[in-house]
Amino acid sequence: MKTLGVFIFLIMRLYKLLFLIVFVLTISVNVRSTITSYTEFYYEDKADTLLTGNTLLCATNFILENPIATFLSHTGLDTGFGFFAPNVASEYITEFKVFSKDSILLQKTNFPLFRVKETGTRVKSAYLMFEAYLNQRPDSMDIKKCDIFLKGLSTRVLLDTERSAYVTSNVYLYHHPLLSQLKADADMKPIYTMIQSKTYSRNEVWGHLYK
Amino acid sequence: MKFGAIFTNNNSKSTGETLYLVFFRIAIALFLIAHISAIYADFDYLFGSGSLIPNQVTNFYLGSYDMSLLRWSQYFGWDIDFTFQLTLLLFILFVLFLLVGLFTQPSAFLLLVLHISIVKTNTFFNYGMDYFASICLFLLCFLPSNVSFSLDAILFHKKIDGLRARLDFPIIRKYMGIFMCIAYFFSGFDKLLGYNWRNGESIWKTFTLPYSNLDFNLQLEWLADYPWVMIGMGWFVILQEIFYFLINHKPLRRFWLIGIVCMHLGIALILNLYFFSAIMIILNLTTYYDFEGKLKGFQTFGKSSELKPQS
Repeated sequence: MKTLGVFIFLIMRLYKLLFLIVFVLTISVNVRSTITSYTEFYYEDKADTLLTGNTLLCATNFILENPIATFLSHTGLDTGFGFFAPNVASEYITEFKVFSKDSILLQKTNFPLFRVKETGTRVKSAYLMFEAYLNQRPDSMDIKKCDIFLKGLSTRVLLDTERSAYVTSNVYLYHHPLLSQLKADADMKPIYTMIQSKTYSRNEVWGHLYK
Repeated sequence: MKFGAIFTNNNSKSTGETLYLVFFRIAIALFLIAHISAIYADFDYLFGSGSLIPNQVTNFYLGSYDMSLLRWSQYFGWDIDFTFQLTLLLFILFVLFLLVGLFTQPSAFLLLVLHISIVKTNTFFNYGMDYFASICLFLLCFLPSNVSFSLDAILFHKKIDGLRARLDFPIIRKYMGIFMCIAYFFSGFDKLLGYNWRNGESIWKTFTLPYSNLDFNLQLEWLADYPWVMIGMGWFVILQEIFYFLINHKPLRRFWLIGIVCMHLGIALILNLYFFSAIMIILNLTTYYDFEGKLKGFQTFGKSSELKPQS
């Protein structure tokens, strides 16, 4: 009975310790994410300089070191909880126009054909990367990543359409009128700004997607 | 012998105190089953060899110690599709173990490894839900969620009876509560820092995002004529999250819990983020729902029925 008592005592101590570690790490990750997102939102142009000199941010640098970084990454604790903050990000819309060999429009769609809704939710979360088309150099890694993603989406649309020969893929930044803009002009319509347009033919399709 | 007693060893005083952990374990297991079923049909598009962003690209962005299905397949020299199928099979097996509470903590650990391996295979397709699923599995790796209503409680009843009688379940629940308070505080504080949350624009933007509100297609444009509604809703969300710790004050608990659950139902309704909303509701109920009170009410009801004189 005494052994069990000691065991329970140790277990409760272990819980206390584990949760304490979780609290410290959660607070550190979130302080970091709060400072970063706030600075990048309000001081976009000089964010890098400001962040480098931020004492509080530097104090949380330990979470970037291993094994802490690995622990955070493998427990889901590496995320900041400021979802949709400090600002709800703008969304990007894709438009795919699929043509036949004779340039007849076969299909116009915004997404590849997903069998389940959850896939759409997940794929849309990756659309945020298209922001790179607005603010990155054309030869940057981020742009290359966006191009690969757009090609993946386009390929899938192309392969899902019978008799398709090529697809024109457009990416738009979507802006819905703000409350303040509607106050000034009640009839204002949403604005679609094209930020990328590419055409892919069947010859360019990735071989591994043919299944 | 009552059926429930087989699982719970009802003679223990603390069964009621453990119910929140039982709920947590079972709800997370059911949640994971529902989620894996939901993405199974398109698994190849997301994490398979035919992914919309090739896994090799994601691999480039992963840390050197990160796990992914691609890395497992390379490590063992297996075909990538075989690795996916095996992972899914093991995932379902261990979710079932978690559901019935068999080898609960090792099952939760293996599930965490599998879950992380799946989501890291293509991190670009991750969102908030994945992080919370990982956190929940991590907590289940060490929380005593198998002390009641589990096969572990039958197979290892001597050890588990001793544990159940002496572990301090309310304090473990308090620790979970502190974690929730930290999470919501930062969620609310980050919103407070955004001027668009304070003037209602963020709520309006949420309503009018091109991919939100697609399932129910609620007509919300008329709200533009009543901006104070959006300002009110923005502040409601900010205050509810920042002051989430007030849920620990008993008289406020029920109202705060209803409020936060309603907020997550709203997210499901408008943003159609069903799985994210579900896991947040599970975490909130686990931490603050009065399971013990409900059990006592149920038992009192049972006893009063037994004592009722025959007419």
